Amino acid sequence: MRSVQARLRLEPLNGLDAAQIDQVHRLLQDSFAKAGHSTAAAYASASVVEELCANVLEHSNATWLSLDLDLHEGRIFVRIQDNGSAFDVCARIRQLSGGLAERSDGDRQLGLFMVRQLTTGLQCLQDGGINRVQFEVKPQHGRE
Amino acid sequence: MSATPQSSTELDDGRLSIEVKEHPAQNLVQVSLKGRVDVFTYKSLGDQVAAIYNERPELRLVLDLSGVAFVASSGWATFLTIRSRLARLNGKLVLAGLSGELQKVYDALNLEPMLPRYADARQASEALARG
Repeated sequence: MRSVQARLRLEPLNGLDAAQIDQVHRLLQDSFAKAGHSTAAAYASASVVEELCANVLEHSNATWLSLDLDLHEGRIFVRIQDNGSAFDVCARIRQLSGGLAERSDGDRQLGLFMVRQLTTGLQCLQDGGINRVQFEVKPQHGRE
Repeated sequence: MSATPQSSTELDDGRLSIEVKEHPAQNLVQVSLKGRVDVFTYKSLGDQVAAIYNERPELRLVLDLSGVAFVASSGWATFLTIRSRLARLNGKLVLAGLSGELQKVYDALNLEPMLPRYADARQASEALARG
């Protein structure tokens, strides 16, 4: 499995834009193909990355978003940065408890639940007007 | 099981297409999706499917995902909403034809208790027809 680093910067942002979300998916597909990762790894990563990027595009009023992907020794590291209004994904995820079946608001929180279930080492940082979310895709989803 | 193809619809510039097959004798509908169920298509999908189950008590609905390339969280949430609304009418929703990739996310979200799945639409329809 090869190491691959890839970066995508979307600017300007046009709200929730299908073409920009498709650019994100293309970067993921191309990078995972180059690295020789499984399609399952690409799929799990795309699920989380689309969730987080769509949130930024739709709700944050950011003017740019960057996505950094680091595929190294079978592991998948992702960093998403933007300059929009801060939305603390980590705090929201910490507030989640139990599984979907036990939650009365399950479908409304499903995006955050998905991020929690598919990632590890999730960190959210805010510095100088820049929001950064970084994580590793859980190994069972990153490898066959 | 005899079926009458009823309609085929493209949503959101072809990002998702829906084919609906009715099985009137079993009060069963098979909805086959092709494309992406994501933040751009989930609302249209929800509306299309609601038009099928509205005012139809005890409807059994099979959502065939064998042609689906990607389901975002908004898509899974839509499936759960459809399931809740059908349940209020004593109906039932099951999924069919999940790819291996889709299956992994489905498992990670622990959706089995809420959204039962079958290997393909035929098995799903037969299981629902048996009750």
